[in-house]
This record gives sequence, C-alpha cells and structure tokens, in this order.
Amino acid sequence: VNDANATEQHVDRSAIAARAREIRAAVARRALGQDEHIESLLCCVMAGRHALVEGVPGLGKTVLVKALADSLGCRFRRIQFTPDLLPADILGSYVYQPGDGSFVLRRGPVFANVILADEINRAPAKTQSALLEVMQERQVTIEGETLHLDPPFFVFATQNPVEHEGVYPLPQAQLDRFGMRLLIDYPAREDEIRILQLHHHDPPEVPSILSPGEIAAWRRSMESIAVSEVMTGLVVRILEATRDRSGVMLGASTRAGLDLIHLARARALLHDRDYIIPDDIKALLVPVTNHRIQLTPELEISGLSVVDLLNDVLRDTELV
Amino acid sequence: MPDNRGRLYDAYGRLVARATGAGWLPPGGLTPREQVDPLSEAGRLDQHDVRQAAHELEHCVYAGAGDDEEAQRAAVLCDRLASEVPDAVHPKRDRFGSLHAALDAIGRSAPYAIVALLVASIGYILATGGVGMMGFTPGFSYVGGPPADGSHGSRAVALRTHFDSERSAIRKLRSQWRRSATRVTWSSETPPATLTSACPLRAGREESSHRDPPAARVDLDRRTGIDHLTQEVDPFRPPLGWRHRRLVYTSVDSAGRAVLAATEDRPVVITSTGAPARRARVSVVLEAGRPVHIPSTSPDCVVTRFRASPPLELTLGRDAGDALYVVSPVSGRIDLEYEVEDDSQYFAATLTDAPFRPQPTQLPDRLLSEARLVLDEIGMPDEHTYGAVVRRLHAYFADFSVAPLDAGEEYASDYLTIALARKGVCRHRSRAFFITALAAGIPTRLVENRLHSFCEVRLPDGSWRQLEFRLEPTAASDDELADQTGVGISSGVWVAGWLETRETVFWQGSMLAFPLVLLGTTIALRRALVRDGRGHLLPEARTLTISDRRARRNASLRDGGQSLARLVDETLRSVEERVGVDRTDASAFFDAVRHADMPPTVRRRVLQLRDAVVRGDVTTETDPTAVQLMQWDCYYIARWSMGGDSR
Repeated sequence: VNDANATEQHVDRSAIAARAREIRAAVARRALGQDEHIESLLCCVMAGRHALVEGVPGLGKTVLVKALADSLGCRFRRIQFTPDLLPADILGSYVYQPGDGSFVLRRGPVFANVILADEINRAPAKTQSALLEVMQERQVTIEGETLHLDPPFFVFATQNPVEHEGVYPLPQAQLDRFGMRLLIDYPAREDEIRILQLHHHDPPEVPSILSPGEIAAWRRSMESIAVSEVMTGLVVRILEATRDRSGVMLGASTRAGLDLIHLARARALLHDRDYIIPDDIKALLVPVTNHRIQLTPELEISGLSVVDLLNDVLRDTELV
Repeated sequence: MPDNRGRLYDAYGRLVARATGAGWLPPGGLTPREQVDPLSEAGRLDQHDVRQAAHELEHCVYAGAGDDEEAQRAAVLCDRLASEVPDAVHPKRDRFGSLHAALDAIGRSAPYAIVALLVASIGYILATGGVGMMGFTPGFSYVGGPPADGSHGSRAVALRTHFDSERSAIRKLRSQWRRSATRVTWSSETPPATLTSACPLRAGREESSHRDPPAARVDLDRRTGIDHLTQEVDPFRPPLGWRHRRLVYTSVDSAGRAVLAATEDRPVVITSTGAPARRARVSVVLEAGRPVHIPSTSPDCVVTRFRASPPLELTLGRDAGDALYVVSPVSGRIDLEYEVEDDSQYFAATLTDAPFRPQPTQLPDRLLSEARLVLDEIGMPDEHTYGAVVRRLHAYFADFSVAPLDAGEEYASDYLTIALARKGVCRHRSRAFFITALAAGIPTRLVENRLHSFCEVRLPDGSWRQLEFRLEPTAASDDELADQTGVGISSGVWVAGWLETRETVFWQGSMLAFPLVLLGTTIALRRALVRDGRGHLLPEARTLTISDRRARRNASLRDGGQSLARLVDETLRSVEERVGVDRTDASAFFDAVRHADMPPTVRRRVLQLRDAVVRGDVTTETDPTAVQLMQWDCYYIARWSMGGDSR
C-alpha cells in the first residue's frame, strides 16, 4: 500500500513539476530575463505567501506579476496606490440604490485571486494596514459584515525604492507579513537586447494554464515534502549568522526561518523533489530575508546593502 | 538520523574541509551540487565519484531515503575521496600550518613532560636537602672553604659539594655537642702574634690564606676586569654594606705584604653601651686552635651579645688592629649570631684642622724611599694641617681610573706603578694610600673584607676614621658603589666563612618555579591554539559560533593590512592583463572594464575595488565586514580572470 501511495505521489509530483515548468516558460516569454524571480513568485503561489516586488520604474515589475497572474488562470486585479486612496476604495462599501432605497454591497478590487498592489508605499498608513489585514486574515470586514475571500489569494505589492517624496514606507512589522521581497535589477545585456528586439511588436499573450482548484491541490501535495534535521540545522545556522554580524541592528526573525523552510518546500516541489536541499535555501535566502533585516545606520552609510550582507552570510556558511 | 547517515554527513564534511584546505573550494557558500564541478575540474577527483557522493548525501541525509548500508557505502566513498585530496596548500593555512602543528604537538605532550619535571625537581630537592634552604633559611647563611678540585668554573657544583660536606660537619658537631653537653664559656686565649694579608693579590693563583703566608713574593695584581665572584651578603642588620671590617693590617713587611705588626690582643668583654646595635649572623668554618676573623663595624665597637650554634666553647678576641676573631677548640662549620654597638664617628668624623704632626711609623727602607717619590709627586698642601694633608692624599688616591696599564707605565715596583699610573680599583688605591700615608707619618691601617678594601686613619685625638676610595669619584649612591666594588674584588680564593648560598637557594627554588611557569605558558598557548589554529571547515568547527570564526579570520589579517593590499593589488593587476589597460589611466580603465566581456557582478566588483584603492580604503583598520567584502571581491574576480565561472 505504501509503495502504491509513493508511486501515486511521485506521479503527482512529476505532473506538478511539469506544469510548473510550463508556467515558467510561458511567463518567461513575456517577462524576459527574470527566470529567478518567476521561480520565486511561483514558490510564493504554491506556499500561499505574499510577495513584495521592489525596483526602480521601468524594469517590468508589473509585467512580471501580470504575466504570472494570467498564467495562473485566476481573477486578477490591479490597485494603483495613491496618497488619497482610502480603505473603502480597496475593500468595497455599501452603496445607496436610488431605485429601491436599499444599500447594496459593492465589492472592492480586493475580491480577486491575485492582486497587484502597485506602489504600495504611496498610500497612507491607514490604507496600507487595511490591505495588510486582508493579507493576514484573508477576509474582509465591511460595516460589521465579514466576507471570506475565495482561495487562492495572493497580494503582489510593488514599491519604488528611489523616491522619497510623498511616500509612506512600510513599517518593519508589516514588511514581515510578506513572504519575500524581490529586488528587480537591471537586466543583463543579452536580455535587454532581446527585450528591445521582441517588444517593439505586440508582446506575446500569456495563456492561462492553471485553475484555482489546481493551486489548492498543489498546496496539499506540498505537505509530503521532507525536511531533514540537517536542513533545519543549516537554516538555524544561517539565521544566527545574520544576527551575529557586526552592523546588523535587526537580524532575521524566527518567522523568516519558518517562511524560508516553507518556501523551500515549494521550490523542492517545483524541481520535482520530495525533500529540500541546500540549493533551495541558497536560492531563497535573499528574497525571503532581505526585507526583515535592518542594518545600523553606519553600515548603510558605508554603502553596504542587506543583499550584500546576506550574500556574505551565504559565502561564509558551509551550505552542507 | 541512523548512525551511518551521520557518518556519511561527517565524512562529506571532512571531504569538503580537506578540499577547502587544498584551495579547491572557497570556505563556504557552495552547496553539494555546486561543489561537484570545482571538486572534479582539472582532473582533481573523479567526476563520477564526486557526483555519486553528492547524490548519496542528498538521497540518504537530506531525503532520509535509502538504507543504512547505502549510507555506509557512501561514507566509505567520501572517506576515499577525502584521502585523495592533497594536504593543505591554501596560503592562509599553509603559512602557519607547520607552526601550528608543531605547537599543537608541544601542547599535547607538554603537560606530561612538565609533571615529570616537577616530580624530578621535588625529588632532587628532597634528595639534596634543599627544601630546608628554600623556604626556611632566614635571610642568608654562608658556606665556605675552597672547592675540592680547586676550580672555580662551575659555581653551582662547587656550592653543592661544599654544602654537602658542611652539612655532615654540622651533624658531627651537633652529635659531639649532645654527647659532651658542654656549657658555653668565654675565654681569652692569646691568638698568634702576627696575621698576614688575606689578600693574595693574583686571583685564583695563590693557594694561601691569611693563615699561611706564601713563601713567594706577592705581586701586586694589576687586573681590573670583573672577577668571577659575586657580591657578598651584608652580615649586619641594619646593613653596613661592603664597609664592614674583617682583616686589619697595620704595617708592611719587607716583601711588600701588609701585616699586622703589633702583638697585643685583648679579650672581648660582653657588655652594652646603649648605642644603636647591629646584628650579624654568619657561618664560619673553624679550625681547632686557630683564630678566624669575623666581621666588625668599627675599631671601638662593643659586642653586646654573642651566640654560637651549636653552642661550642669559643674564645672571642680582638687583635691589635681591632679586628674581632674567634678561636675554637674543634674544627667544623658553625653558625654565629652576635650583636655589636658603636656610636663612634668612625664613618663620618671630620678631619680636624689641628696642625699636622708626623707620627713615627715603620716601613721597609725601599718602600719608604719609593713613597717619598710619590709624596713629591703629590705635593704637600700649603695649609699644613692634619685635615688638609689627609684630604690631599685621599684626593690623589681616590681619583684613579679603572683601565689597563698602558705601555711605559711600568715602574720599578708594583707600588710605584700603581701610585704613579693612578690606575686600579679599591684594593690598589687603598694599599697605595696605606703605604704612602705611613711614609708621610700618618698612622694608617689597611682594612679588607671579602669584597672590598679601604683604609682607616688615626685622628689626632686617637680615634679612627674610615677612608673610602671610591671606584669612581662621581659615584653617588651606595648601590652604585656596591655594584662597582663587585668589580675586581681583592681575592679569588675561598676564604673560610664567606660564601653566601643565596645563589643556591635561588637555583633550587627555580627548579620548582621553572616547570610551573612552563605549565602556565603551555596552557595559555593551547587556549590560543584552539581558537586560532584550526581551519574553517573541520567538523568540530561547525559548532563554533559565527563570531568565533570572524575573530579567527580577522586574526589572520593582523599583519597591518599588507596581505590584503597585496591581494587587492594582484587581483587588479590580473584584471589589467585581461582588459589590456593600465588602471592608472582612470577613465580608460573604466571604459575598458565597462566594455570588457565580464559578468555584471564581476564588473561591479572590479569598479568597487578600484574605487576602494583610490579612496585608500584598502586597510584592515576599517570595519571587519568591509575587509571581508574586499576579500570576497578579490576571490570572485580571480575566479573570473582565471577562467572559472563567477556568480
């Protein structure tokens, strides 16, 4: 019986990996040169974590998230955050119907499967926290009425790190709610050439490949991914290393470690494995922990970024 | 995890550690899958085996699959691979590798060696009876007598020999005393009429002592080098230093020897004057029926207490030169303890301004005529008072230099040579003054102890005043003088009763102290080794905290940043070779790097590193993290420039 189960799971896993490859290929055709980020976002989708995408304007943040949402076959909404955005604008509100004099609930854009919260740091704290509450609870309370959101529910927020005028930076506690923060950098030269060559035509459409039900099935099969004690030991060693470094004001939290292992399991599933290996941790450490670590001002002034620090930690730690 | 999986994990860790030591892997940052290529590139290890090892590690350890046997086979494979990796060639480890290994070996064996040394020391001290000398000897004691073989070469050996023989002598004396149970009585036997000089003037050559005047003519010793004898311990408390009296001479015989011419001896009466007292504690070697001189403070000192141990029947006397001596009915070594009082102005009386009246003195004719020559050379002061004459003479003889004789300074006799060349140490000065002053009609005595020699002159009122001929007129403090009088002291022969054993005490004490110091040093060394001496990836090192590792790495940078600067320089030079542009031309270098075929990460690192050089940031004085960053920059740039991939 065990053997039969194992075989069934194995087949199941291979199928998932195959679908994942399909999605990655489809998204990669649209968002060129961002394979790493596509994989990370797919991990988020599988593990049910939200993601924050950060980068200067014009690097394809929105393209990336949009393409992924298209491929997932989910309901996708985009909310452009502005300083005058109110909580009701995203959650929804009761609207007076002049015909019958009743109030009808008009659902906000948050009632979708995938939400792109564009430039989340432009909205004031009140609106941000409304969204973050939804992210945490996966439910909306309007005028005392609680409405559950249909699973799956992901928020992909983007923010622009360059501008400082009129932005409300997310507090550390809220940053911690995001499973990962992707830092979009300028594309490599070859990728940039390809982007320029391809995209002066109409960009290719991304077909919808998955369905919401399939995503839920993926999540269930993630439960079978094994985490050996060697791997938990490695994660703890890495977490300790981020805390012990000089110049670190706030090291990676335990929640970071939990997310790291959880997302590593998702990545293992993507790669058709039923166990996690150090490569998973290595690939995910920077996106999962970079927004949860704060450096001392002296170190920031010296030009060292959290990513540099995390790369150092990786280099100094035996990943065995 | 079953045992064999743990074994596999450890075996793989050892493989990585050895490969890191050999410079095949960076110290961290690569996962097992990524380690396959660097481990198998350029024919290092068999690629299939390495891949197999990484695969088994994943399969057995990470996935927890596979059976125990498979894990065991994989562990054996890893061990075999590890044994194929050559020993460390990584510069960081290689530089101190052999030193660390040697220190470690010393550290491992040292505790046993030290315990053995301790046991041996204690055994030795117990066997030689040194324990009594080490902790319980109050202050000082003396052993005496010439070495059995007549050599002065090995002082420690000589001391030990005499110490042993004297211990047996004391034992004998004590048993004699117990048998006879004699009470101490003070008697006043007449000592021999004449005592001759204790100062055989050529060190180590004369076999004589003051008891046996040498038959041959005594040459004046012209050596001024350092004698092999050490300083003498002060026998008096409060201390009197080298200025105590022991042998006193009143005249010179026809052979030029200082002698005690007068014959009257006086018994010493134990009494007290209430003046300040000094206490002496000495050991002397007695010879039946012969006087042995003991230290005194001044000619008119009064003995207030006297004790011998064992309590023998001793005669305490005072000879014509007012020197104290004891006479014993038996031979052997004995401890004496006595106290003297004196309130005389012996050391500080003013030389009076009374008119100078020459007193009749005795000198051999030849010496008298020579001394007149010297007196002519000195010249008499205009003011013809006692004080002026003595001061003039003293000033002349105190102002000698310490130097070897030059050619042409030899005169007909040693006396003339010393007095006219004006070279020599205390014994030369005092003896020349002694003869000259006697010739001038000043009653003078020559006083010698084991270390020092000086004169005393009789003042018109009949009291005596010490005259000191310092080695250097400028020498101010007593310590300085003590140091100087240690140079060229008068005798090389072991005179009875005057050799301190403090050296022995120190020597035996250090037998115990040396192993203890060694033990402490070794423990400190080992503690330092555990922190610094290990490579990064040894299995034990996994349990170390990150900060420990950082401390170790920083410790390896403490050569003032030279190795870092060299590393950065070499790295940038390799980039220069690749891009073909000298980095001194900043803009050309910048353009060349911008357009060079290199990954963006490497490009960024090159530019950062160059900026750091321009800013002067390549120093270990800055934050350790910055230093590590630079090291890693260099590592990845070097990987690229050597044709490897880079991330």
